[in-house]
Amino acid sequence: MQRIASAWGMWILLLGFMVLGTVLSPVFLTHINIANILRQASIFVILATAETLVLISGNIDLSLGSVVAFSSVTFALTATYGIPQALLITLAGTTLMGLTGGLLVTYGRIPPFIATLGTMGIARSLAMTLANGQPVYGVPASYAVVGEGFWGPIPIPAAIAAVIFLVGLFLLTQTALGRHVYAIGGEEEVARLSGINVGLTKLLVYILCGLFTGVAGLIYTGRITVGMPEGGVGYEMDAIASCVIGGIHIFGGRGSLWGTLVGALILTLIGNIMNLLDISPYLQYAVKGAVILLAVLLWSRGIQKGYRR
Amino acid sequence: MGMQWLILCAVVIVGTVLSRGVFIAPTNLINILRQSADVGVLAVGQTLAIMVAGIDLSVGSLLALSSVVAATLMRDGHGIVAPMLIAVTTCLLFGGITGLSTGFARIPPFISTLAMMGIARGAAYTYARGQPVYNLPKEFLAVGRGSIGPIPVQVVVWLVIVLAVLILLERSRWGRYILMVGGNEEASRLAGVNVGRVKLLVFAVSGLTAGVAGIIVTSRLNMGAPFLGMFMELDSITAVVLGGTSLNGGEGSVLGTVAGVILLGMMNNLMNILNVNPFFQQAVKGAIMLAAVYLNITRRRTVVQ
Repeated sequence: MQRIASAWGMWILLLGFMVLGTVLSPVFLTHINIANILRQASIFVILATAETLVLISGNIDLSLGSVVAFSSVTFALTATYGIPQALLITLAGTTLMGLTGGLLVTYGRIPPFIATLGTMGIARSLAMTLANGQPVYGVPASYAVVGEGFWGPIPIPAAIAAVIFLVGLFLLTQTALGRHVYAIGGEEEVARLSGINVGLTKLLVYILCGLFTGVAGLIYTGRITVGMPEGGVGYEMDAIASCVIGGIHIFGGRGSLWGTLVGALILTLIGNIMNLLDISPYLQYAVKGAVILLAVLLWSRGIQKGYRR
Repeated sequence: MGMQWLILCAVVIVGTVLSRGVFIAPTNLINILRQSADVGVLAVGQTLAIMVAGIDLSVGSLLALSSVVAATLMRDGHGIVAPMLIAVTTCLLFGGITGLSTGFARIPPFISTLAMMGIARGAAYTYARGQPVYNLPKEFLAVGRGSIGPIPVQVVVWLVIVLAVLILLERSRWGRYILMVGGNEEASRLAGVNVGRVKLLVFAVSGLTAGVAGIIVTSRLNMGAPFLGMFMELDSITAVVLGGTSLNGGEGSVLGTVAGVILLGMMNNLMNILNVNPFFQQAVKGAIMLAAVYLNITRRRTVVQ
């Protein structure tokens, strides 16, 4: 089973889903639908890239969905000061959220899924408080270009997602930070003894995660052109599912960002095909949950041996 | 009796002073118990999950599932008792699936219960077609609004569940197995404990308590809805940690959790009396949970040293 779930297997699976979509629905291969898939995938890809960094370092971040909502609300509220200022404030805010989670994990020594469960509640609550529980209008109509615009034939959100993905790929494969992230996820104590600043590295990972999530929130806001305090619910699950489908080791140390990309695309295709076939959107939560379980099971033969609490 | 009871007394005194006596009034105290019953029931299952060094993130979604299943069946005229039993059994089975995937397929609990959180929420939304369910039978309201003497029915249900789990923990071998597995999984496996079966039991019980909590909430609101219980996993974990159960597993107490739940209920009540923005209350609770976990961890570290 593990051999099937190898990196090439994932690309073949992706191809399989594309064939399936083409066979099941006549509109699947139309220009509109493909642009739609790319737009939808762009948010997933960015969030999954962020989550991949965290997972490979042996941690987890459950706050992504709430931070997307926080980003969306913050941008909508500050848009009156001008778009560049609003972008800066929003990204600073979400980076601070990431930093908070990182500090709790590194210096507070709180287990990461508890710490980020806490920041998940806090970020959601801040978004609801700032927005007073209502959608925030005030995003200029021109901003919709970030969510819906095209750059040549390529949707702008997809271009942004590609940039974030490449930055993530560069960091993970070409820099010392990337090697440290893999080392810490593999065996934290060994990494510490070989002179890696474990705390600082984890902190950087969470900061990057907050920053990337903020960008995803900005695209999300561009798509709906309101600040949505109830937005992004369950997005962390999509991100984790993308990583797990793509073969990122849930206890860290192993996995490739390319796998995550394929995982995110597969997940988007599943959603898109279900939409085209008119399957209840509510069922998608359940399908995604089941996909996480299946993917972990398929990849888990090696993981079991490494499992310690 | 630990730290949490002392903090409880402190909160009562501070609350009484800040609210000029409103807080300590018997009707308000009963009210706090009434409003804590749902989280109280959830937290009993959560205590077991954390005792085996696990966690259950799916309890809020299971609560919603129980709510829509029970409410839909009651609305469609299948009586009261049968829908309640079916709803609770459904949650028991869903919890059992989590137990199987954690105990036998050995998927780490925070991943398997995260998946179940999505699956159960999706099932609840699909079953209810995304809509709240109204028109429940009048007699059913007794569960969430009735009283036996001065004590609300839901508090009695909470007490019964606490007692049942106390007996399981203190008087049966399963209780010792749960603490053993939480303390050292490999050692208990070598000692001949069927670790998979212990985890199956724990997560099934956690599903069951989530189902019961769903019934309580449904009756209290006179409505079943698929969006209920969001973030209640957070509340239940907070209560367990406030109650002194170690996140590393292997130790803890259900009575401590009861104190944690009441503590959380008092803080909610106090924030309402003091007019704190309801949207902001979740942030306060998140911060309280993080502080509790932090203290829980540092205290344990100093004890070890």
